Amino acid sequence: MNRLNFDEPALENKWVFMSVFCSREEWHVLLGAIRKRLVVLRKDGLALEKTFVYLSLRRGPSIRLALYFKKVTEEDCRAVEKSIDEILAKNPSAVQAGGMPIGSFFMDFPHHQVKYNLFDEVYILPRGLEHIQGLLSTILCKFFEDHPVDGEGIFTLLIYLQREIIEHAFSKASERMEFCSHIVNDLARDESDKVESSSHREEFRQPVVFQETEGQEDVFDLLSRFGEACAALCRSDRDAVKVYTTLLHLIQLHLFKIPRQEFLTSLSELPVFFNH
Amino acid sequence: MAKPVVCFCTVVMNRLTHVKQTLGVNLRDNHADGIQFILLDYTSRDGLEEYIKDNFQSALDSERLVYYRYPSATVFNRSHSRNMAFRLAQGDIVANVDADNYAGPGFGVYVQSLFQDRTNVCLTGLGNPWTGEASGKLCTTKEDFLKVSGYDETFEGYGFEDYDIVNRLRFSGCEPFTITNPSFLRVETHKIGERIVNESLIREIENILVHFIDPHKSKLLYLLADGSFRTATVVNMFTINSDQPFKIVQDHSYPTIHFNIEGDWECGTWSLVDQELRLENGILSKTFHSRVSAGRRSFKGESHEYYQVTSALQLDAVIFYTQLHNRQIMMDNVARQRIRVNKVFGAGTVYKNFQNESIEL
Repeated sequence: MNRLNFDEPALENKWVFMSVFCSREEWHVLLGAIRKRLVVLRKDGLALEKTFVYLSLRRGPSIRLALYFKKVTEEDCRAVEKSIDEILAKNPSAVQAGGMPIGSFFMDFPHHQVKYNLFDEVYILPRGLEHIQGLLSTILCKFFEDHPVDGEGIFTLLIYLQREIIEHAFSKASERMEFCSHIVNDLARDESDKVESSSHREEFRQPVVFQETEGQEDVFDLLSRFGEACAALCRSDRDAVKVYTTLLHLIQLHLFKIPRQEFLTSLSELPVFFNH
Repeated sequence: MAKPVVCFCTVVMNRLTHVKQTLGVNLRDNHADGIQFILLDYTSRDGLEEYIKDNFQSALDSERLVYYRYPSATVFNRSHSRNMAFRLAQGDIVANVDADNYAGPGFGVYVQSLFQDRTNVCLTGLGNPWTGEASGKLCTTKEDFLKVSGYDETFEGYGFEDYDIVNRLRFSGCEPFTITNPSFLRVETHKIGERIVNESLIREIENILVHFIDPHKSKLLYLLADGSFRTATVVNMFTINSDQPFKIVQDHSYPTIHFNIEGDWECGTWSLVDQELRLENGILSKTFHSRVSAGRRSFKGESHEYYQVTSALQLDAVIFYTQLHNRQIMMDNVARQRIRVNKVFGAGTVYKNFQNESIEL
């Protein structure tokens, strides 16, 4: 049994969570620019080990960065913040922040601000999935270098990602088709907690370790690595539905908690690919 | 201590759906000597009485289940109803199991074995790693429950009564333990609105308005149907330090510090005449002109513009108020290390097993 603990937990300073508030129209430019600047800062000695990227519309549109440092000081954080401020200054938002209606008790954050600790997604990084989170972040940045972050772009990316998961989880076209139809029915049944409950606290039995490769991979190389990671997860866990719903949850977190309907619509497009 | 008698207490007001899902399962999962279930029907009007009569006669005959009806409630009062049920329980150990909660297979025997060895403990669902919806689960000796004078009946509506009673049990010398076994924490999930639909404040509120100050502060204005208002500036403690990289307010610290009130609640009276909202509190009188901008109604005054809270947020606003209100009482009880909080608690007239003979509490 656990003692009931009312004390505040010890703070972990190795993770730094930054929210870069800027208009959604600028995301595709800023994503690439921020990513490149982080690489430069790392080469200059910043002890940055991992970067996870999320897109969020909560309290105003923002690019969220979960940065994991081997060792970090406030000066390091301010250095990253300053670099991002410079990028923001070079890419002014064409769209005004805020305005009515406000869907919260507090107004949105204005554009062109960097804020700390407005989110904390560490808990959704179960062992064995960090690599996939990293890949998702890289795919997201690469993909949106060439596509605006609009409904069409998001939808296309969703199809690519889901196609990789399903193609690597099942070898036969008939199994893939059957799975798509099963998932569509399952999700459509309005089991609102289905995706979260099956993935939130799950930890995969066998952590999957991959070699980090830093190179000039294009989106399709990255997607292919993503697919291999999914296949490895399926091999270790042997439960394709669980793997799929967990990955869906991760994708959802990275793509501003995209609504379930988007997944359903994109899933219904997938059988076209499996038939060829 | 000999094997203690455990009484699981469930209070219900218009939650027949949940009772149908959980009660039968709970009885089946905990069929053992010295385990009893108390169901307090807190003036339900959804056919609960008939359902129990029709479906649980054998459990009632064997006294594994005892049904009480309190017919005088106009609104749901979480603390008062639980106090009633605990006072009615005749066991050594009293346990709260909310209507949407499953006790869990063998939970009664587990509680018996735990309290057989120790009495200076209590079990709580608070802080469990599985679901916040099982936070209301509480097991304590009846003696300790009476010692702390039960749940604080000054609490209004939803929130913090569980934290408060566990705090006071701790002050009285009881060591709280969190229930961590997931099979003892299963719940029927449902929308939060169902929890508070029978509570007083939600029925009293005429309108809720908000004046946005900045991303961290807003002024909330509750207009009640009796012509009174309550207003305060709410500070979002989760975002207030967002300029600082290492000043983190962890999300799970929510019960104590996620939102704060700047200063105190202000009260007064309100009126709406000819599209003008007037607020008066004896010292000040302020007028706000109604207008519609960007498709949203607002009331504009000299320095403040109050917007109508969207319907999606109305429920949150009610919970927000009750939680802030209750948390203040809880913090005050903690600061003063209060053990007893009620002079009289769980008082009222109830009827046992559909009989006409009344029991005065």
